[in-house]
Amino acid sequence: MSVLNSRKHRLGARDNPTVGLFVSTDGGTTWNHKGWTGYIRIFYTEAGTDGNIWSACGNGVLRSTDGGNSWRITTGWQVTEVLKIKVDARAPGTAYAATAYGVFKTENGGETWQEHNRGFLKPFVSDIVIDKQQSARLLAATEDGVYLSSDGGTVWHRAGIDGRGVRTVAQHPTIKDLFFVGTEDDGVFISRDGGKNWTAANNGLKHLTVYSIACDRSNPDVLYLGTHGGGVYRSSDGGKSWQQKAEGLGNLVVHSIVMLPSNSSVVFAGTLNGGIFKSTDGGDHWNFNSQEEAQVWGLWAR
Amino acid sequence: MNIKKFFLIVILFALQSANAQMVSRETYLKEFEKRAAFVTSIYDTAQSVGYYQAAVRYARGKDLATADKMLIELLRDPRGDMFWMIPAIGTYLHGKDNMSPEARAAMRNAWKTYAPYRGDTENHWCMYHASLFLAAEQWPNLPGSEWYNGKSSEENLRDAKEYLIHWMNISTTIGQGEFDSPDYFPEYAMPMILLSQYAKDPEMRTRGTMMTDYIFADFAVEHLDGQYIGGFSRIYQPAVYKPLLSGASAFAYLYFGTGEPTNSGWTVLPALSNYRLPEIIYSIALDRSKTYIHQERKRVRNVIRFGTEKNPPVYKYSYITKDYGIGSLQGGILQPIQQHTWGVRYTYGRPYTTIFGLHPYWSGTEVGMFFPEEVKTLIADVVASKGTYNNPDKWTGGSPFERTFQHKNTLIVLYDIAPGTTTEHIDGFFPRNLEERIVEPSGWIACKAGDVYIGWYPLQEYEWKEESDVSINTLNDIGRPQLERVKETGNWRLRSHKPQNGYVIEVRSKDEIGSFAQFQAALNAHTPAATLQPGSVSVQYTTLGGDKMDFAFPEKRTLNGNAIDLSKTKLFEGPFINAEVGSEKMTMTYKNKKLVLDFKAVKIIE
Repeated sequence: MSVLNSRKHRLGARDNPTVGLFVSTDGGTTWNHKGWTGYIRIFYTEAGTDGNIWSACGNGVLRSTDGGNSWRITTGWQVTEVLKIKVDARAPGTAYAATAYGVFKTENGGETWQEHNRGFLKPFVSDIVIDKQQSARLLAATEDGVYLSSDGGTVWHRAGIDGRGVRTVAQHPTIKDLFFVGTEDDGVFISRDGGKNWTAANNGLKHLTVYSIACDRSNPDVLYLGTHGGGVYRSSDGGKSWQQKAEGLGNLVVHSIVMLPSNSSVVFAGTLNGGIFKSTDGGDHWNFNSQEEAQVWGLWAR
Repeated sequence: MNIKKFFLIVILFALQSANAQMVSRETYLKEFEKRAAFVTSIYDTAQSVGYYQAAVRYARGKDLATADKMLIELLRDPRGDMFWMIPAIGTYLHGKDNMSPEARAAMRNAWKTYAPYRGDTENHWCMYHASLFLAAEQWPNLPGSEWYNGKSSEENLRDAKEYLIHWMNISTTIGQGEFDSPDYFPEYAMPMILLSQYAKDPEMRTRGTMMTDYIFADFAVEHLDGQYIGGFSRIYQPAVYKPLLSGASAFAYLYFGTGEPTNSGWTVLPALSNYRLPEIIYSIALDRSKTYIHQERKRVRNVIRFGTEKNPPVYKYSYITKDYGIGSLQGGILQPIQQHTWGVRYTYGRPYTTIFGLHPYWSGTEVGMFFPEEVKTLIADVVASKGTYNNPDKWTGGSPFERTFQHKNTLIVLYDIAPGTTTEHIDGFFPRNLEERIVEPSGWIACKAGDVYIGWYPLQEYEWKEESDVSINTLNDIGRPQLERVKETGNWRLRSHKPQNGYVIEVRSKDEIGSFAQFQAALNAHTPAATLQPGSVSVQYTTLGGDKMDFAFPEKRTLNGNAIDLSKTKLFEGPFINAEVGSEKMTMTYKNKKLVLDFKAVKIIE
């Protein structure tokens, strides 16, 4: 599992130990800092199936081929404000960077990157998902709704929720045509046809800014949301209804949420300015875990 | 012509010539050296540990053991990102010949182990890439494992050069993004001056010199008595109301000999450098014998969301005399957080040499246009470093509900503030050292600042509030301003709570209109007519000069019956500096001198 956080640290400031990438190999009991200690505004990290680790940062896309001990900025000056990096599970040399300036793609492990913004009306992209069934099929969360590409990002087409800010997009791990998006002000939308049609699914959801979505691999009906102001919401019926799960959450701005693959009742919530909280009962109760006051932009687990 | 009139003409001509007369190049250079020596004078003996203290010692070959000790200590734990990179590489370049092997090794190691943040705006990127370029030239042929970012020397060199040329291209075609910033001028001047002296690549050395000339020329043409004139992209409190406290003013002291002597750290590396300002630029900066209008086109820095255009145009208009300058941007959100849309600045009464107004606006949307983090948490993030951002009493910032229309020394500012906006009032700053601040029966507020007279006609009712304290800047440990509040009574705030609002500003000097009483009489004979309804805010006004200005919020500007088309504004247009949009070429003219900066050909043509 990796946890990354940034930004409590102010530009040019002297001290903040809770900056950068933190990794836990014992289910979140202990965390070790990996890689750069400076303020590089790290938003998200995930590993490819080849073991390489990729980080989305203000400084561009970073890659480590030695478990996080050393890093290389793989992108040039053009690629900046990278909010997410998603690696193709089938072809780990292929990755997509979602940035404030659109989508950039590499097909050679980060040696070169190409801009892939054809079709976007507004290129601010905060998240991407690679369809687990077809690697060339992508969904992007943009400032102007959801966009879909069927050709590896060469061309993008509107796929719904037009005009609304979409913050995150996720695919269900076991029901492959099931996709979710979280929006800036309009809650959650669900698509059951691979992202072609979307329906609002906000029953019980009182906080409509949704930054993150997590799906339980072992129970397809269990979903979690990280929201602004409401902490965590859980659904036990596939998104038909939501219940707020904030007991013990010391900070209700949850930007990232992830379950332990080995035990889905263990859930981690990464907050903005409150660090990480952990639940061992599927979100019913939360306890502070680590990274005091940190902005935990991204969580990822394997 | 009688003898008396003849002599008067001769005397007037002689006076004008004296005003316009520039000192010889030789004298200028001698005076520059004196100022440079003053700037650096405290650093070569200061015992506090800092890069500039080390750099001056190295450059002077003085107390080298202390310089080495300081540098090694500093490099044990580098911090400050691009604000570290510039002083670090600057110290190295000015000092490497006098450095101990241990100090040189410490510097090399820092570029291997400390990963600076690249930043999220133009000045950050400019400093980052200029430093990286110079560092990569200093340590060529190293593999990625020897650099913090995993890239080889050649990759870093290529990437940094590409960015710098890109930045120069866009700046000289559609304008600088963080334009005319009194407080961010140093962040551009320092890296460009370093490039001009130390780039080994001849093209980049020339480009460094050209870009230094370019930004100094941009400043010079809107300079008055050490102050930047006009609307600005970014300014901190308190330089907004004490203009000489800005970083640019420190450069004005060093390069123009104006303003007040300062040992500002911003100018230490420039004072050590061999870059010298071309004569034509300081001539433009100093000669105020003739009043002139200068117009510019800049660009909004990258709009990443909530907009339809990445870099919308910014239109600037400045009217500059020997006694005062009045300048404005067209209004709207043209920069996040620190915009200064308009202001009058004058030579009388330091330190409060200005009058200006604003709508103190803030919103998550505004900062979300420019920063990628979450809109709902961005304000708190911004306030962490720009403490006044969400303060309803702040003195900096643009507003989407503000627009201006300037013609010569007359300015109209209109507001149509939507209900529910974070603040629904507008403010005006009136300094405490005005000799007069008289509310005329006509409604005009007539102010006297020495030989400069300012008239302010509020379109709505208002109240006066005495400022009980002000924000002042102190510098933190990396030379960045941080705000403190101090007791300093006597400045006045004009506040009006009407959301449909505005005012008319007239500025004249004694030379232009005669006595203050004559100015008052002229004001009272010219009152504007306004319509102030939600969605319908307009004013019709005949200026003291007899021109008819019609202005309807937001963008309908008519002068003497002719519509004003701001989109025709050139990159630079005025008696001294001219450049066409897209040209990559700036032409400076002064008397019989001409200097062309041709960025396409990478040539300076005299």
